[in-house]
Parts: sequence; C-alpha cells; structure tokens
Amino acid sequence: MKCPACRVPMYVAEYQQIELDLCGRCAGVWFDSGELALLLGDQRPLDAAAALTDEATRSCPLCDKPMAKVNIGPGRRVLVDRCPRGCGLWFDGAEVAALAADLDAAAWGLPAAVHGFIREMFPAKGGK
Amino acid sequence: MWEQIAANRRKSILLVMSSALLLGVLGWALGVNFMGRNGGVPGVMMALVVWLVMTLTAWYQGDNIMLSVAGAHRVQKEDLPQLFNVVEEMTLAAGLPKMPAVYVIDDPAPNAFATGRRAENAAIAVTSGLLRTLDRDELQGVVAHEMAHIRNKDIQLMLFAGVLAGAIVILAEGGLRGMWLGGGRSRSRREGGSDGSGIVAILAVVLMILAPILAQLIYFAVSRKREYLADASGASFTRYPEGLASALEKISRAPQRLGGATSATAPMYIINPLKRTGEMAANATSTHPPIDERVRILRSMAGGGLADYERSYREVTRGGGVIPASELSSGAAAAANQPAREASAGPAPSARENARQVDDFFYRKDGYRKLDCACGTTLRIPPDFATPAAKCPRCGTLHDLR
Repeated sequence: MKCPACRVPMYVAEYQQIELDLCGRCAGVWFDSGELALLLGDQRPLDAAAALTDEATRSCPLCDKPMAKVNIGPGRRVLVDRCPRGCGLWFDGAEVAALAADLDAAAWGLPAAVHGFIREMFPAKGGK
Repeated sequence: MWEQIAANRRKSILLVMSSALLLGVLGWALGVNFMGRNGGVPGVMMALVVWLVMTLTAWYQGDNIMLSVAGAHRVQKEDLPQLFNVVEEMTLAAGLPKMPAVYVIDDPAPNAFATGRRAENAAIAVTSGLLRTLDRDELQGVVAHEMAHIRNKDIQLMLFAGVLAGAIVILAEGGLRGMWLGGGRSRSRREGGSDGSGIVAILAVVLMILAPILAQLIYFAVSRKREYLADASGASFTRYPEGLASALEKISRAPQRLGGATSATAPMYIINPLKRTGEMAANATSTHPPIDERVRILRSMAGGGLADYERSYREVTRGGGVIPASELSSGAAAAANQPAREASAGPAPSARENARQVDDFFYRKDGYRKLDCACGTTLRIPPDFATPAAKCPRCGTLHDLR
C-alpha cells in the first residue's frame, strides 16, 4: 500500500494485535477501517464535520477514490482525510503527534479506544 | 438430496443444450449479417465451434478460471488453521467424499463462493474480509452453505452457466461492435429486396441485443432457488441457523464492495457482490433472494433440521415449499450423521487473532519482512520499501534494513 501523500510504499506496525500503516517519509498514518472495527466493534469511528479547505485532495490508498477532508480535534482545527467508501482514515504526521500529545479524547471527537490506541502507539510523541 | 442432484444434472444438460441453441441462432444471425444470405450455415458452424470450446473449457478449466478471476490464493492448514478446521468439520457434516481445496481472496469486503466440477475436486473461497468480520459460528454457517452448493452439484451448474453466459455476452458484444464499425452488410445496399434480408438484419440486431439478456435470464433462473436450498442444508449441517443468519446480515451490511467480481461471476457468491447495501431489496431479476427474507426464514426455524426450514420458509414467504418432498422424508437419515455442534466448537480465537492470521498469510505471500521490536511492536516491511531504515513508532528505535 502506498502513502496517499508521498506515494512511497508504507510499512506496517502491529501492537496489541492492531495494525497501522505508516509512511517512512512523512510519518503519516493510515488507520484501516478493518482495524478500527477490531478496536471499536459497532461504534462509529469518528465524530467529524466536513471541512472546506485548500489542502490537496488525497486518494484513498485502497480504492483510489478522492478522500473527504473532515475537521476533528480541539476547535475542529485539525484536518483528517476520510475515504468516502469507508476504507479508513488518514492522519498526517503532525496530526498524529498532536493527537497523541492530547489527553482528552472527547475533544477530538474520537472514541476513547481509538485515541487510547494512538497514545499507546506513539508514546514518544505523547510525552509519556 | 438425490432429487435435487438429479434435477441439477438435468438442468446442467439443459443449460448446455439451450446455450448451444442460443449460440447457434446467434451465429446464424451474425453469419447472415456479415456474409450475406449464404452466411447462415458457416455462422452456425463457427458458433458451434465456439460452443464446443467454451463447454470443454468450462468442464476442464472453469473452476481455475473462476478462482483466478476472483483473485483467490490457495492456503494450507498451517496458514489459516481455524478456517481449515471449520472446512474439515463441514466436509464431514455434509458427507462430502473429499475436503475441498481452500482459497482466500485478499479483499476487505466479506463474501464467499464454492466452485469445481464435482465434489471430489471442489474448491471453496472466502475473502479476508469475511474471516475478519465473522466469528466462528458465523464462519461455520457460511462454509456449511457453500458445502451444500458443492454437495447439491450447484457448483457444476454454476460453472457452465458462468462460462457460457460469458461466451454469449462476448460474442454478442463483438457482433454489435462489428456492426457499429460498419463491418456488417449495410441494409441500404440491399434495400427493397424481396428476400426479406432487411427483416433478417433487424432480427440479427434484435438477437444480438437479446442474447446476453437471455443468457443472464438462464443464469438467474438457475441460481435463486438454490440459495434457499443451500441455506436449508447449511443450517442442517451446523444445526445452528443463527450462525448463518447473523453472517448473512453482517455480509450484507458491510460497506465495502468486492473488487474482483463481474456480472458473470456474481451469482456464485453467497451474497451478490455487485449490489450496494441499499439495493438489497427483492426484484424479479435478482440472482439472490432478498437477504432479509433469508435471514427471517433462518431465524424463525424451530430446530436445526430441513423440515424446520421448510416450515419456516412457508410461513415467511406465505408460498409453496422449497425443499423436495423426498428429501424431507429422509430428513431423519440426514440427521444421523450430524456431529454434535458443542463438541466441535473449541476455544474460539478472538477477532483480532483471526485478523492477524489472515494478514500474516498475505504478508508472507507478498514477501514482507517481519521485525520484532523490543518494545512489543511488530514491524512489517514491504519488499519495495524505499528507505534504508524503519522507525518503531512506539519506542523510536531505528531498525536498519540493509
């Protein structure tokens, strides 16, 4: 699978039997919907609002459809890409770092399990 | 299900013959259209050669074609032990002479199909999404449904139907394209002729348009009722209708669409892969009965037997029965070789373990390198990874890849 931002092959990191796809160049993270489902069961993965932005549109690394930009995070200022077909979510490197550093999952509109896993996976950036 | 098997054999023969007829008429129409009045006979001859090649191909290579079109990969027991256990159990429950070969398709959309010439060399294919989504009881229900297709010889019929429908579509499309490009005899040159060739040409066009639709109709006709029958037999193999019911629900609700499915292979799958969730409603040309009806029948079964399914089917559809009478009367015999369901269910692996087992298989197949980081994270590096080192996101360790 190729990074939707840099188009180089991504590597995979697995922790507690959950996998993330990572880009070695831009540190972006792909959270596959299959993995989100393993974390969440039937819960909705993301409470987000569609965003208007001039950030470049990225294509889903799985189905190649253009992904939608959605605002999450405190004040809804952080942009995340979401596949319209529901393949998964894409976080830019900086977004993941900000997300991992913040203790408050509710402020991000993410279920606690997802936020908790990201904090587990990126503790160095989370100041643990 | 001897009655059902005999009916399937009859239908297979009927299908092969009627497709020969359809192809013959199509060949005649193409011949007359492209070569003039005397082209009818050579056209029929050519079409019959095509028919012979397609039938032999369907018979000897159909299963391999179906599997490779679907992008299926053969797996062994050590790759996916849980799937293998379920297939082994259901082979016994269905009373098949030999365990089918097991294939996995790397696709997040959950679905499954069985194919093959006969029960001795059948294959069963499931998607990685199916293995990730279903628990053991649900997987057992799906595998049992596919085993029923194998035992009832549905797979043979579907093989012929699939390959022949494909051939007719290709021929008719080729003919139409040829006419569009001006290869056909133009009607204006023979305008006013009293030999009725204008009518022939119109007939040819109509046939070329109708043939693929007819082929699809044959295909539809053979595939609907057998889905109910496979549900009934599947439920009786597991003695646990809820497993299949819940699996059908999960499969139909999954948002992903199957990548490798075409209109020629779609009717093979346990749930039509070409329809979106919102389009699952009943309609006359559907290859599969509506999901919610299949689920309702399974859920209102009082027990796990064929007679229970029959009763439930009559109640839910308010129509006639679906299971042949001879089969219902021998229901007790079928019940005798049921393995106790509780005994076969071992400690179920979690959904996460399942997902990792499936992914591991595809990572190995695709040549990923596995690195165990000291912090408990596992990294997997693709063969075409560009950077010389990979960083563990958890502990920050830089793993040298050279």
